[in-house]
Order: sequence, then C-alpha cells, then structure tokens
Amino acid sequence: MRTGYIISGIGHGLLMLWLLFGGLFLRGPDEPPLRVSEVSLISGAEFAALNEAAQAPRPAPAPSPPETSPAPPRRPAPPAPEPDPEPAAPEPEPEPEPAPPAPEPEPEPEPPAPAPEVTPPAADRVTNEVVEAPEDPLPEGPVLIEESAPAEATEPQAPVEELPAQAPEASTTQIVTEADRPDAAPTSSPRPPRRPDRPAPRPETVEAPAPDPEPAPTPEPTPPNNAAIDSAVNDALADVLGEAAGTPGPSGPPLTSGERDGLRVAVSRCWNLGSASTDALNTTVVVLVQMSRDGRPEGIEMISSNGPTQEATRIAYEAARRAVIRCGTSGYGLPAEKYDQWREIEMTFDPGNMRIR
Amino acid sequence: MKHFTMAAMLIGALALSACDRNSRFGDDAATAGAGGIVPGSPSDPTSPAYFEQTIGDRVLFAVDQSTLSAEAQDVLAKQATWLMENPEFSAIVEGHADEQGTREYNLALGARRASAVQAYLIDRGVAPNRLRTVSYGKERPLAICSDESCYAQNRRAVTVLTAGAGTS
Amino acid sequence: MKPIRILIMALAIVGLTQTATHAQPLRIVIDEGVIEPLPVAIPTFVAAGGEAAQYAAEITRVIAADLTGTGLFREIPASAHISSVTSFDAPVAYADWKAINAQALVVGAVEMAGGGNLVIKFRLFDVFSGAALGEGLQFSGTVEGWRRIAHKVADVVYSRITGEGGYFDSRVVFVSEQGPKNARLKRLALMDYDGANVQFLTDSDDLVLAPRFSPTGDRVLYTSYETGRPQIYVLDVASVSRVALDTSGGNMTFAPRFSPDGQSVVFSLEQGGNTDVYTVGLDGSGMRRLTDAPSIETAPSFSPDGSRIVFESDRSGTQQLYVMPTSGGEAKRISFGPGRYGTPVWSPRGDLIAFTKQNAGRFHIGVMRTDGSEERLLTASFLDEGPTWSPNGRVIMFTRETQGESGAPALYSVDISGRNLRRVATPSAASDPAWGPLQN
Repeated sequence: MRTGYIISGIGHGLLMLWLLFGGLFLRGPDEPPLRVSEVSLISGAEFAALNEAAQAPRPAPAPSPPETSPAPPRRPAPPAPEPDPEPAAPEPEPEPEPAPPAPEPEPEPEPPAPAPEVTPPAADRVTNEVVEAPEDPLPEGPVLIEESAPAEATEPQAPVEELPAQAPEASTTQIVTEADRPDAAPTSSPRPPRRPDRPAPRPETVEAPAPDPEPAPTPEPTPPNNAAIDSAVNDALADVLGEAAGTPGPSGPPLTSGERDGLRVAVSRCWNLGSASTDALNTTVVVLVQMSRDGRPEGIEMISSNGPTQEATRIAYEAARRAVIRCGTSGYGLPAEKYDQWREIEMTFDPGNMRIR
Repeated sequence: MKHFTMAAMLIGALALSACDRNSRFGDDAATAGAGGIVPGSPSDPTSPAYFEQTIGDRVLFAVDQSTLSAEAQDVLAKQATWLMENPEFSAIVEGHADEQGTREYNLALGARRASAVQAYLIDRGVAPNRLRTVSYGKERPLAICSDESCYAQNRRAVTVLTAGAGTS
Repeated sequence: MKPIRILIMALAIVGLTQTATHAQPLRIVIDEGVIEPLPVAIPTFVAAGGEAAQYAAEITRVIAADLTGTGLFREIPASAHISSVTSFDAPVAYADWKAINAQALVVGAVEMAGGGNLVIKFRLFDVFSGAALGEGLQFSGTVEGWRRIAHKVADVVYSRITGEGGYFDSRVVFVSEQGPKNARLKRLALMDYDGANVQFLTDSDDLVLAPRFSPTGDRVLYTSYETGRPQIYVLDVASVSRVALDTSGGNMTFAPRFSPDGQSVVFSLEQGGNTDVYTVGLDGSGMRRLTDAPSIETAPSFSPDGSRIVFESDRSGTQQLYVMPTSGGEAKRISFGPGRYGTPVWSPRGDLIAFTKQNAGRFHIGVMRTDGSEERLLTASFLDEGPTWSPNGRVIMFTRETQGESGAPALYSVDISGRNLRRVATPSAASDPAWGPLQN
C-alpha cells in the first residue's frame, strides 16, 4: 500500500515536474467542468500517505544536514539573557458549542473569476503534487526551512557560547507566563541576529531510527523527520534561553509537592489538544526535558508513546513539545538550589481525561 | 353548514334507496330528505367531490400507529361502498406522517398506514386492482404548525380517486 | 532500556561541562490540559504580479476560512502581524510570530503559470519549535479551480497539524428546498463542502429525497417521486443523467446507500405496508432480501469494510439500531437508551455510528461505538436528523429544521467532539446532506 503510494507519488512528482518545467500544460482550459480526475495527479489520500512517507523515512536527500551529526550535546548555550518575549496568552476562545443557529454563512463571495454558481463549476483539476525534497521545484528543500531560513541559521553556528549580542532583551526579566500576559501584541520583538550557538543539534537518536514506519505503534514514534525538527527545536530552545548552563549545582533536597505542582500546572496550561486528532487524544507520550539552570527547557525528546499510529504519536508529541516550550519560555520558576533535582524532567502527557467521549 | 345539512339529507336518501349494508349508515340518515343534486358537486353522490367531502376521503392515526380507529373504519366502510357503486373510479391511498420522525421511518410509516386502509377497503369488497398505495412520509403535511393540533391532521391516509377502472 | 540509553547519552553530553552526578530525572504527570483552537497566522500569500495578487488574496482567505471553520484553529488577524511575508523564500522571523503567539504559520506564494493555470506553493511552520512542519508543497491547477487548490492547501495544513485526514476539497449533495411547508419544491443540488459553487442536478418537478454519494463521488443515489411513487434513481454526476435503479416491481423503494465498493446498493423496499432491507447490484442484478420481518426495517448503511450493515427497525416496538452481516442473518440490537434511534450511518473510519435520536420531544444527532457503547449526543433541537460524515470521520453534517409554520430546514455541521456547531451556507432552505469523498 504504502509502496504503491510512494511509487505513485514519485511518478506523479515526475509528471508534475515535467509539467512544470516542460512547460506543457496539458490541461486544456476547456475540459468538461466536472471532470476532475484526469488531471489530478495525486489524491488526497495519496497525499497524506506521501506526506507521511515523506516525513518518515526521508531519504538521503534529506536536506537536513546538521542533524546528522551524532550526538551532540544538547546544550544550551550561553548564558545570555533570553530573548523573546513570549507570546501572549492564547486566549482561548471558547466556542459556543451547542449554540445552534448562528448561521454563519461563510459563503464567500467570489473573487476573481470563480466559477459561476449554479452552473457547473469548473471544479477541476488540481494537480497537486508533493514536492519532495529531492527534486522539488521549491527552492530549497522545503524541509529545512529551518535551517535555511531564519535568521538564525543565517548565522553560522557559532560555537557554543558566544552569544553575540542578543538583541533581545526586552522581554524578560520577569516571568510572564502567557497566562498572565495581557495581551498579545508584542511590543518588541527581538528576533534577529542573535543566535549563537546551537551546537549541533542533538540527536534524537535514541529514538527509533526510521526503519519501519508504519507498523506498530511502537514507541518510537518520532520519525526522523522529527529529528530534524527536534534539532531545530533545540536550537530554538537554545535561543530562547540563551543561557548557558553552567556548572553543576548543588543538588538540593527534593522538590516540595507544591513546587512539583506548580510545574505541573504551568505545563498543563500550555498543553493544548484543541487541534489534535481523535487518535492523538488517545495517545500518551512521555518526554524527557533537559532544563537550564534558570528553569527553562533547553532540550526535549520523546521517550515513549502508546499512540495507535505514528501520526497520532507525532501529533501528541508536538502538542507536548509546544506546551513545554511555550510555557517554559520565561522559565518555570523552579528553585535554583535544587537544580540537580530537576535538571532533567520526565513528563508524561496523559490525555485520558480529555479525550472526546 | 348548509352543505353539511344537504349532505346529511343526501346520505339519508342514499341510505334509503341504495344497498345499505351498514346499519350505522342508516342511523345517520335518520333525518332524510330530498334535495337537488348538482352533478359533480358534493351533493352528487356519484361525484369525486361527494366522496371527498361528504363521505370523507381521509382517516387519521395516533402517533406512530397504523391501526384504524372505529371512526376511521366508519369512514372507510363508506368509502368502500362508494367505490363499489362507482366502478369507473380507482383510488390511490396516500399515507402520511407528522413531522415528528425521521424521513425514512416516516416513509415506511406512511406506507403502513396506506396499506392498512387499502387492506380494509379490500376487505370491504373493493377489488384489489382498483387500489394502489403511496407514502409521502412527512413530505406533504396538510397543516403546517408544529404542535399536536396540526400533527393530528397530518397523520393521515387519504383515498384519492383516479379515473379508470384500475389495473391489475 | 530506552530511558537508560537516553540517560547515558544525556550524561555524556552534559558531562562535557558538568558533572554527571544526578540520578533519576524528576517525573511528573500532566493529565490536564486545555482544548482551545490553535492560533495560526496565515499572511496573505505572496503574489507574483497583479493578477496573481487577486488570487493570492482569495486563496488565502479560503484557506483561513477552511481552517478556522473546523473550530480547531484560530486565525490571528493580519492586523496583529508584526512582520509581513514578502518573499516565499525569505527566512522566517520566528520571533515576530512567537510574539503574537502564532503557533503555526502558513507561508505561500501564488503565480500565474500561463495557459490559464495557477501555481501555488506553501510551507507550514511550527513557530515555537522554529521549524518547518513537513516539506513545502506545490499545487497547480486551472484558475477556475482556484478554490479547489485553496482547499487542497488547507487540507494539507490541517492534516499536518491535527493528524486527521483533510476534508476541505470535498463536495456535498443535498436537497434544495423552496416554497411553503405544505407544498415544498425540492431539487437535488451539489456544492463544495463550504457551500460554494452550488449546482442543481434536477429540476423541482418531482419530489426528491435523500441523495447519497457513491464512494468515488461520481454517482448519486436518490429517491424520486418521478413516477408518482418513491423510486430509487442513480444519477451520473458528470453528465447529470439518471436512470432508475431496477428493483423490479412497482413497490416503493427508498433509503438507498452504496456499498463501499460502489458496486451494489442496500435499500428499503416496501410491500403491502411492510418495509424491509434489500441489496441489489448497481445494474439491477442479484436483488436479495436481507431482513424479513413484519416490522419496519430501513435506513441501512454499510460498514466501511463492507462486512456489516447497520439499520433501524421498530421490531422491538420503537425505532432502534441493529447491526447484521452484509449477507443478512441475525441482527444484533445496539441501541438501548431512552427514546427512538434512526438513520444510522457508519463512519468512514469504521469506529463510530452516527444516528438521529428522538427523545422527550427533542431530536439529537449522536454517535456511538459500533457495539452501541459510549453513546454521545452532539446536538439537540426541535428537529435534527440525517447525519452524514466528512471524509475523515471528524465532522458530521445534518439537517436542522426550525419549528412552526415558517419552519424550514438548513444544513449544519458539528465536530464529533460536540464542539463547533455551524450552519452551512446554502442559497435557500436545504436538507438531506450527503458528504462525498475527498476529490482527486
């Protein structure tokens, strides 16, 4: 099945390229309106499959360079201040739920030259294609946008610890969790240049290699793709906390239940499963978070998951990762004297009470 | 009102002169009298209008039921009589339901009602090949309010006359 | 095992600068979170040229409408954006997006490709992780089909973020209604899932009911009074031509649905006031009776694997749901709550059955597992009925009719979580929606 999709996808991709570069657009403008099939190169399902496939194994061309590097230290970086202010509280926006009627039409006026209504619209053919890394027409391999992109990458990776001038500043000194944060609009957005280090991303290795994707819900969900993301994530984390980790600290007494609770509540507040699939809502993931001395996450990786599918695991992990990163931007306020107690935190995200039922 | 009186008289006349197999029919005709008959009007015993308005072309049902009440049987007996006396007509029995039900179920329920009427008419002597049934479910309400006063009128089976002697 | 390896590695890494003395990581369990729409930023796609700019704006708007329409996303208005995207390949200013709490960012570009075609490319980013989610994609199609392209982009974004399959590039066939309640005119109509591009498939001369899409979306089964009594027809969507489904005989036939392979039809046939479930080949061959009881058996629906059929029956005295093998045979009752249950529809994922429930004077759309457990009611109103599943099994569309003399039906959709109830825009009153598959 998957193989079929892959083959199909590759075939379609080639066809697409040909269409794109060959300059021949076979589809004549006048085809029968309802005919969609012919031109379409890939179906939605194939799409999905391709995506998955793409995410998963990811062949060589995988652009993501850095990641390859083996075990790099996940290490934080320079002690510098931290950067970005952070977001504002998500503001939930409830949703009425049962409220019925509200008709909210959303018809859309039609813009340009849309098809006329009542008449058979030209629905038509949309050729889609998945541009995969290799040949993709897209400029850089898509995937790595991270690397290529952001300002960050731009600066070569500076060796650890150097933090250039980090622009940031503004934000933080205080811990503003999103919850408290008044409102969004950020005033200052630091963005740029900073970025120092980020050692090679850390591997993520431990996780499953990517051998066999689909089958079993093995705990190793993190598809390789994640590796790329993770490295980026860690970079991002590093950025965020530019600070360096420093020396070992005294290992203090265990955290009090109040301290543990505070941490739990803080993470809970950012753990949003509102956009998770129903399968992901049935997936528990366990992640290991490396903490910086000032109480911010600087590395995160998935240890295990019971997701029914790899996709569900991915979604569940991403939601957990967002929670840890977003709410930890300003630090979790953990007692510094007990750093050794929380230098690594294993967090289990169990949506058992939140699933749709 | 006037129609009603006239109808009553006609019924009486009919009862007296025709094959009255139904005793209640005769009872109803206690106040028999004579009157002018306008062909095709409700006063003309051989007209569809008479069938529809004087005898009554419909019977009503209880919620989610297709059993015929005593009143319904009464009306149907008269319909049967009329049909036998007017062989040039056939009939389609339409079954209907109120809006308080799902579309598919109501179609099936309407069919049950129509069928119950059809069976009764056949039992009363109407040739099967003169009767057909069709269900409209909740698609064709007679009364359109959304309360029991309307629902009661909509849970019905209507015997619609058609020209022709019927088919097999 | 794994944790140990991780730990070792972690220690090795950390050991570079620190003493690796601590032992166990702190463990906490997070079992409460929030359910909120994910904030997403969808800056207007970058356009190459004036004509492309028009499409870029519209396409961006449709993508945003698709995503926010799910109730799973909240769009951060452009007015709140700190930076604008002027080049598809420019580095992403993550900090700016983080600053406005955009958790996902969609960046795209539109260009005219000549020959009446559009080319659209886009990338999706996880802002807080500072990384792209998946790879960039490119679609091309005719300008007339710009809406479909937009839906496809939205499907990919939705899918990558939620993990569910998409459903935006799909169509819905339904009954468009006009006129007073006691003399309604009904005709079949087709539209995009969001109500755009309405196209009529029949005129309103004959009463038509409950259309159902074939698995591939190229055909529609429906019931028409064309001959004076309800009969099932098969309509070819492309040519808009129809033929009666041959069920031999003059009995009333209704409530049809395609088998998962599209080759046969399961439906109800009424004979002498008794309605039962039958199947027949699409070409009219091989008709078989699947139920044989004096009660009403109707509204059959196949399981997606084709092995079972769920239907409603009042054999117990009231309408209830039953499941039987596709070959017929013993049916097992699965609904046991108070009230009446009808119009069961198996979800495309196979795990749930949606239904209409009538209880205490109210109607509900609900879902239950295929064994009848875990029943959940998603809606409640004067009259809700006839659920149909989105291609990904995440959303249910249904008919909601208002009360009274001026009462009229309209289409609504609701997430299977029971959240995000919405009215689907239609040009006039509408009923009996049937959601088609994702288009190719």
